[in-house]
Amino acid sequence: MAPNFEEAPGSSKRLKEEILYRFHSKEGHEFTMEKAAAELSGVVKQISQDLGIDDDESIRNMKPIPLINVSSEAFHYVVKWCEQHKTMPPWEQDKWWLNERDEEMKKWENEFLGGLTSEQLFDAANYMDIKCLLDKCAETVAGMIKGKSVEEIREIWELENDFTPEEEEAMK
Amino acid sequence: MKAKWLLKAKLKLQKLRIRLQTRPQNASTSKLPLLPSDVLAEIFRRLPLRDRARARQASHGFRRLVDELPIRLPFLMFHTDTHGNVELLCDQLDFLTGRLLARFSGRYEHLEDALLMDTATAEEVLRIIAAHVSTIAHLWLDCKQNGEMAKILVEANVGRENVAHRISIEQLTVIGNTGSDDFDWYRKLVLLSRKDAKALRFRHVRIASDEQAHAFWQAVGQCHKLELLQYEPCRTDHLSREYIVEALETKPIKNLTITNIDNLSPSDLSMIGAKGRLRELSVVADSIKPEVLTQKCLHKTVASLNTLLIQVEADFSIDNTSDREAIFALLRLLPITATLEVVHVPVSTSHAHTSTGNLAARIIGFWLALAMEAERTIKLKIDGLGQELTDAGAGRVLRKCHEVTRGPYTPDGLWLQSGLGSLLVLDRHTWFGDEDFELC
Repeated sequence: MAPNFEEAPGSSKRLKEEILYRFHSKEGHEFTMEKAAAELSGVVKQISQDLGIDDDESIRNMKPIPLINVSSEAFHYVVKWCEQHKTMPPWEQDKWWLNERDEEMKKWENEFLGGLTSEQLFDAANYMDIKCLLDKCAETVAGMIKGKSVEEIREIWELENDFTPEEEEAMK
Repeated sequence: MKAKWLLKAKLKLQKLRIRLQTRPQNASTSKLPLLPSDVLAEIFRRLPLRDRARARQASHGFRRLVDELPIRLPFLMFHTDTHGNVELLCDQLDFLTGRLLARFSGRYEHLEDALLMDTATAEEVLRIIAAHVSTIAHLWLDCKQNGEMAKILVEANVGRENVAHRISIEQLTVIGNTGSDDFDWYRKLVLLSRKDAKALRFRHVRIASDEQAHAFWQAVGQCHKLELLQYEPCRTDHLSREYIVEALETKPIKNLTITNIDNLSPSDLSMIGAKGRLRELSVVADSIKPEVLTQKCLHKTVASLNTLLIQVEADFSIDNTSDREAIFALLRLLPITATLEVVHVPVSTSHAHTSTGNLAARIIGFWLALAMEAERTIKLKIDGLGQELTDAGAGRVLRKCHEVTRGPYTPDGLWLQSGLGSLLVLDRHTWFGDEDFELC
C-alpha cells in the first residue's frame, strides 16, 4: 500500500523549532527532514557546503532541495531510515555502519527493509549518497542471491544470457 | 605438537566448508531492478566467492563487475607433508583452480580437500595468489620454506605504490622457521598486515638475535587492532621479554598465549593486561607459577579472565600442601564462570604406586577435589599418559568416590562432577577449545 505522505515522518507538518531541511521529490511533493537526519546524506552535505550554508538560520531559509530522481514513495522511506539513525555520527566521519549495531537497531533495520521492494529505495540511497542505507540494502540483496543458481540470478534481474555457448563452456 | 596444530587447521577448514555447504537456500526469487553498476558491485562484494562465481556467469556485464572486485580468501594454508610435498588447503579450491590457476601450467594434484604440489610449484602458486587476492582472512604457513613463502608475499606487495592495493592479512599463523633470516620476512609480513592484523600466531619458531627480536616486536607493536597473540618458541627465548611488553601494553589484547619467555614477570603480565580486555590467558614460563599468578598486581587481570591455562610440571606435586593452596587461591580469584585449563605433566610413572592407572586417578582426584572446593570448572590434560591409563584413572575415581558423578559425554573427553565443581578430562588426542576467531 502506498504511504500516506500527509502523515509521514517527512511531511512538511513539523514543529517550527526543529531545524529542518526541505526537499522536493520527483513528483513535486515537499518533504522535510531534521538536520541531523538529513546530514546522513552525502548529497545534502555537499549541497550545503556548495551553497555556503553553515548555520541553522540558513538551513531554515534555504529553498527546498530538488531531488529529481527520488520518488515521493522512496523518499518517505529514506526519511524514516534517516530519522531512525540520526544520532549516529555523520557519514564521512566514521564508518559506523560497517560495525555492529545494537540488537534493537538491527531488528528495526531488518523489519524496515524486509517489507520493502528495494528498487526505489536503492536508487534513492545511491542518489542521495546515504552510505549506511546503501550498505544495508546491498547486504539485504546479497542475502537474497546467496545460494542461487546462475539461472535464478538471471531470473531475479531479468537478464538475458548474452554468452555464446563457447564462452559458457569456458566458464564451467 | 605440530600434529595437534595441523589437526586444528584441518578442523577449522572443515567447519568453514560445512558452513558454506549448509548455507540456507533462499527459496524466493523475487525480481529486482537492474541497479547501477556501483550498487551492484557493492552487492557482489558481500557475496562469498562461490556465489560471486555464479553471478559472474549470469551476463557479460555481471562478469565484468565481478572480475573487478577485490578477492577475499577466508582461509589459505600451506603445509609440508611427510614426503616433503606441499599441501595447499583452502576453502575455495574450486575458485583457485577454476579462476586463479586456470592458465597456470605448473603441475599439481587435486586431492579431495587440497592441492598437492612440489615446493617450487607451491611458490609459483603463492605468487599468483599474491598478485590477485586482496585479502587473506587467515593465512597459515606450516611448511619447510615458510621464510620463502613470507618473502614472496612481501615482495609481491612492496612494489605497489598505492598502499590500499596491498594484500591484507587478518590472521597470520606461522609454524616453524628454518633459516635464521626467516624471522626478518615474518617481520615484514607482519608490517604488511599491520592495518588489519587481529591475530598473530607464531609457534615452534626461534628468533636468532636481539636485533631481530627488537625489530620483530616493533612490527607487532604496529598492529593496532591486534586482539590475539600466540608466541610459542621452540626453545626458551632470552631476547623477547621487554620487547613483548612494549609491543602489547597499548593493544586491545583479548587472547594471549606466551610460552618459554625467559624472565617474564607478573608485572609484565599486568602491564599487558592493563587495558582490561584480556579474557583468555595462557602462560607457560619458568618464572610464572600458579602462586605467582595470584600476586596482587595480577588480581584485576586474573579476575576478568574467561579462561586461564597453566602448565604444572616436575616441580609441582599433588602431595605438596603449598602447591595445592596456590591452585586453590588461583581458582578462587578467577570469576565463577571462568575455566581453568591445566596441562599436567606427571613427575614420573616409575614410582611404585603409580605403575597402574593409580597415578592418573590421583591426578584426576586432585583436580576434581579442587574444582569442588573452589566451585569452579577445570579442564585437565594429562600429558604423557596413554588414553587407557587416563580412562582407568577416571574409572577408579568414579568407583572410589561416591560423591563424584559422570557428566555427559563430549567429543573432547569425559566430564566429572563433584558438588559444584566440574572437571573435564581431555582425551589424548584433543586439546583445549578452539581459540580461533570467527572468520568472515
